[in-house]
Amino acid sequence: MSSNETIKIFIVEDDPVYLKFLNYVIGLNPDHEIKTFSNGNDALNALHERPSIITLDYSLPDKSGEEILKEIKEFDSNIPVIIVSGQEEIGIAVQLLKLGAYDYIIKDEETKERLEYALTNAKRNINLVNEINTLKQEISEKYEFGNSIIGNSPAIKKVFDLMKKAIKTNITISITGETGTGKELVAKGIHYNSARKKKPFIPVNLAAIPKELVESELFGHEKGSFTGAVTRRIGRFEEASGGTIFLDEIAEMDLNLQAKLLRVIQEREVSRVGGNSIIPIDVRLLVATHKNLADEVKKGNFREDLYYRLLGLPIQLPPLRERDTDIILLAKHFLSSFCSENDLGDLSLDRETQEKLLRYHYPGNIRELKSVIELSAVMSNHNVILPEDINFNSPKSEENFTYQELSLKEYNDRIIDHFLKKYDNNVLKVADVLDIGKSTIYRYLKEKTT
Amino acid sequence: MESVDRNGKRITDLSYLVSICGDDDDFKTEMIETFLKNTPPLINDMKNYLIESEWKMIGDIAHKMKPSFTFMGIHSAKDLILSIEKQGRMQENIKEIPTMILELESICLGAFAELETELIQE
Repeated sequence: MSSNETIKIFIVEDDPVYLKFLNYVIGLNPDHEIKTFSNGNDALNALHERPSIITLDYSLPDKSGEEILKEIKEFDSNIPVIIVSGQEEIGIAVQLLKLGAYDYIIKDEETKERLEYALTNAKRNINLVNEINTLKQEISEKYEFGNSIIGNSPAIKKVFDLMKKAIKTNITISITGETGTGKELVAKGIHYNSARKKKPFIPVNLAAIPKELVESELFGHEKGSFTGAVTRRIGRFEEASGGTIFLDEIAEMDLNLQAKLLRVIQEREVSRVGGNSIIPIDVRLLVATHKNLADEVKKGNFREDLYYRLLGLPIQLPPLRERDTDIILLAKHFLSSFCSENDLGDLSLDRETQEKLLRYHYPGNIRELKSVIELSAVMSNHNVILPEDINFNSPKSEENFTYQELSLKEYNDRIIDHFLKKYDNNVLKVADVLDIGKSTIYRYLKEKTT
Repeated sequence: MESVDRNGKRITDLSYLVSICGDDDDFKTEMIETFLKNTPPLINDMKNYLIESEWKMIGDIAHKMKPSFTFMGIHSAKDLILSIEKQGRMQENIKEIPTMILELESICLGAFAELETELIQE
């Protein structure tokens, strides 16, 4: 609802004089479409017409304002209900506000101003709620499997299958994979496709928080519980109430805190640092790490009991180099997104560029591919990305050659193959460059064809 | 011509109503007409409940009448109507209620006369 859109307002009032007054005051704004009711039941029966705001008298002939308010809230808790009443008893006002009334206005000589103010605020609130719902919907669509995780390689299809299983229950999910493989994307994909999608998704990167602050970050703290705790703070677990918490880099968690996390998972309750009260939590847990947790257990860095608690449904994300043609799909996706975001027009990938992209091993995985493609789009002088526009600058690129564990013969073959391609299968030239006999190359070629 | 109460003062004061509607005389007229149509039956209801000693109902009617008296600026009835509401609902000092209702009726009759004159002058 934008500020100029018509909004439907129900006025529920049995006093004809007051009904006329409310109708007049609210109707002064031409954007208000008003419907009046002189009793509660008629108003309740018309709720299917979806009013944006309701003004409700407390004393009606058929039902009390309290009963009507409860029924409206049961129908749709988001409809702001402004009580306009002659009741001046503070207890009644408090009770109705506790039941979810948006405002309580007493019928006196200031009613007009108070009502206008309450309506303005209610409309602003409706706009915010609508905006939040739209954003939630957009996020939800963004993280639909097909939209967020791109690929059709067998390796990624396995991940999709596991994610589909993951969304059906609340089982803990442990996501592992090299850096840049999209662990958080998978976590978001699971959350935004699960029954908890309308509740918060709270990601916490444990490697990015100073160790001494992790406990407070996760579980919150009470005012004065430590130096610097000047106010009470709600922890991430409480913040994720009803939704999902994603603990990234779980292997980095300190052993002492691991014991506390284990207790939280087992008891489903948290206690703020420096606090005595126990707060029950309803949170789904997703964890991720680029390390092998089982190895960390063996090394004594990770508690075995917590390891089994967290294992749940394990999802191992494949490194990009094992995702075959997904590399090209992803590259095209990143190129198209980048061009569109930066008004660069349409750019495409030359065939040789695609081959070059496929030959690389991507130690930084998808994150690295994205960065390489974006840089190539900037560097390109044509509407086609050429091989020379592609620059792999990974600090790990020296590992490119040895990223796979091959035999010496296999490495030799790979080197020969590389130079044969480079010098258009000119055996003499390659033999000269590599300082080997041409017979070695012929032998290699013969083996390759048999 | 202004009508006045026994003390020579006007009973109604439409300044609050005018502050709401400005120079929208149609709305002002509608409000006065609705008040004139709606209030006499309520006073009759009060008197009927008096016969049946239905004190709470009398209190509820007084409560319902209260806001419209604000629009017509019948300030002299404000405390009276509050007492009828409170004593009726709490069933306290019920012996005073009949007299208070008669007094309210008397104020209202004066107010009706003033408002009818107001309508004629419109």
